[in-house]
Amino acid sequence: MFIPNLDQSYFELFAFEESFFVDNLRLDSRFRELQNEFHPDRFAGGTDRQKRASLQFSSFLNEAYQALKHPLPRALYLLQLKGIDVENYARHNTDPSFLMQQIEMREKLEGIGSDEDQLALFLTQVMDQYDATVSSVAACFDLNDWAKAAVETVKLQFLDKLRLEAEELESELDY
Amino acid sequence: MSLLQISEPGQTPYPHHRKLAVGIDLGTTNSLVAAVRNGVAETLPNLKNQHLLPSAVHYHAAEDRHGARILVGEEALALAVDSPVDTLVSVKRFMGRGLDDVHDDAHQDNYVFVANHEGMVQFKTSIGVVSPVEASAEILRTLASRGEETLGGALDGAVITVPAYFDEAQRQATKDAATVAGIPLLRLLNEPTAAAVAYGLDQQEGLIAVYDLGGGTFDISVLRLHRGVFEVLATGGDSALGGDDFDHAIADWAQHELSLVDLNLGQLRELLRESRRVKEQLSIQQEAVISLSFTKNTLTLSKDNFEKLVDSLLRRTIRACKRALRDAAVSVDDVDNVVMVGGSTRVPAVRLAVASYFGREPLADVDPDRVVAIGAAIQADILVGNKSDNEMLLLDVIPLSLGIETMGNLVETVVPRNTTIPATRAQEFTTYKDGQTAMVIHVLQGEREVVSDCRSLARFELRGIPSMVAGAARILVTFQVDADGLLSVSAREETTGVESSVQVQPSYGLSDNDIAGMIKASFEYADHDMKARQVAERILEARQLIEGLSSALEADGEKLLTVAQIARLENEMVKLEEVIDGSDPAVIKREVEYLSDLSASFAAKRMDASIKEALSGQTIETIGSEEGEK
Repeated sequence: MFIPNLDQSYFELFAFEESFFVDNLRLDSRFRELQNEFHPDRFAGGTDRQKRASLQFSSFLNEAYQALKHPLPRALYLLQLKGIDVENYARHNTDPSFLMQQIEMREKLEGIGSDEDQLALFLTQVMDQYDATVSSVAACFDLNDWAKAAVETVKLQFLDKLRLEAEELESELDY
Repeated sequence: MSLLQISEPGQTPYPHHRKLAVGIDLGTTNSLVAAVRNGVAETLPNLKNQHLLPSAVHYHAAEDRHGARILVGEEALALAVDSPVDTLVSVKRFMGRGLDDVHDDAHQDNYVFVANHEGMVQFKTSIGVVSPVEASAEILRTLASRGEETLGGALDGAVITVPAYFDEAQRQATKDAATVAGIPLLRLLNEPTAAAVAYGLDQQEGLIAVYDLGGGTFDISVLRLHRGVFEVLATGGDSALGGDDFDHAIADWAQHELSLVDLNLGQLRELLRESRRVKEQLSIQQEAVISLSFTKNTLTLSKDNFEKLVDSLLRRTIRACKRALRDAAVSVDDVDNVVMVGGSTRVPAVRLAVASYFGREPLADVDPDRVVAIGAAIQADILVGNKSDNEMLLLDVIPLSLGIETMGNLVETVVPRNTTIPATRAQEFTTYKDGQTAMVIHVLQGEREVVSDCRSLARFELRGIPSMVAGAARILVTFQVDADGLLSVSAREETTGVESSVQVQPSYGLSDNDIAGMIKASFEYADHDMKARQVAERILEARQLIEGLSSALEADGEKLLTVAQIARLENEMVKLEEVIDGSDPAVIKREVEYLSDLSASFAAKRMDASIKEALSGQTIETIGSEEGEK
């Protein structure tokens, strides 16, 4: 069995250029092709060595796929490749107006209580902002402006968390 | 290209020798075995042409005329009313569970439990103590020999299905049962995934929701199929909910309506059996009559009334569907097919509720009792190597988050739930005390942030960490979950390479209620957890400060500070100790900051002193070595 290289970057693994733009359809099909070949089920009757290698590579594939599939982990991974620690960066470069906005949105979510229509509206707003932020993250990467990309990625992190919280609230309201 | 076939003396290789493989659905109420024969997957009947084997095992003290002391299946079930203690049914509910878990289980009333040395559930019967693993092994053995008799030879491999919701302990217990029964296990397969396979949905593309309401468990899985790859996007459910609960709902209602009190075990079993019969009748008619041997009164249950009794149970299943779709990040409109699994989906109210939520008629053509075994047989046939050209592949996810305990009674998630497996995740941790040379790695499962609310899976120690200041050691903890969902954890100190690891073989399973409850609670208590986490973090911070400062004062206090300065610091430390007990994070934070500021100049002095000492130390050493060279 071919012993796959676990040191390559996720982009190299899927034969992509190192970029924020990822063709999701191609990613999906590359992922499935590779899993099809290397998943532990393919080595159910293999040697221990084969089983171990396939377990490692298949795990690595899953990790890489999850990292590239969605914009937020992809942005974080790209920044990591560029040597930028987003958390540390955020601590020293917080945009005060964004901080204010964070506080306001949180208060708004808390104020909604069990009003379903308000919550739906809120979720739409968050999603719109999320999509807009993804676009601006993309633009920053496009211009090789890593510092600004980090700032925008931090915003994306916040919006993602807010969306999750709003969705949880929504599912508690039903039934 | 084929390999040279080497055969043992006396064994003739067949030109197209097919390996013998079966799929086994080890169910709560019934179990089945299936195999692919002449290209068709079908369940295998016994000599009486019965396909379902009731998951019941009876133990009797005296040998019967065939010399047997153990009965499995229908014969065992027949004895359930007369000797409830010696007849084990629904043992699947107790697989991999500790005695503490089942005390609040609604179904425990029928058995006499004892704990083994690890606290695991065991049943006390007339022939002695029997574990759920042993009882399950009896069922597996019966099915495996049915397979061997039908297929004409020893089995080369088997796939056994488990609910997607089964945790580590429950999966391990199922594997153990296969080992005890002497079955060559190829893989554990999630039941809903098997059902989708049985429908041949691997030939299509799209999203599938599998709604599996069995006797004892409810599972919802969201799968995506694309060019032969089954990807489990999310699983959810309620593993303490099933058709048995419908029976219990009827039984509770009847007990109340008929004012039945102080029923003995046998009477309870009869009432449950009658409730089940009535439930099944209501699938085809508008009302049914409950009549029992121990009371003259009868009771009529209408279909409408029955639906009211089970309404809240159905709503629980729909709620779990919503959550699974959310975890999969898809909307209900994206779902292309809904597959019905489990005998309880024959109840019309169930189909109605599912159709109305998903907005489409669910698939139910394949017998919902057999569909899982059939899918398992198809998968077993592939894994054993009979279909080498088959492209089908199953990518599964883990049902509950895995993490480790960190300081201050908190859980740090390492592998979040619904992560595709196999998965390897590593995270770095450090020591919190100066000179700490050992670290306990406590592995936990669950969605909550506080240790006591999660389930402990394993605990092991990493020793031989070099003595360093707090926070300097780098300990890499690696979680590896294999394709069956079984976990191993290792810890490694990066500077020295000392290592320690554990294959998680939990002595303590999760209770069914726990699993569903833990996920639910993680959302309900999110706020409370957040606060608890804040408090715990502040307390930790405060204790570290006090500890660090005390040892610094002891070492260098008198050398570097005046008596008044020392007194002032000690005074503040006592104050901080007091507010720690108050558990108001803001107050603790304020005191910590005050004390840190106050001790800042002392810290600076120590730093200077230690640099001087280090420099002078080096001089002495250098001189020493120069002298040595002379």
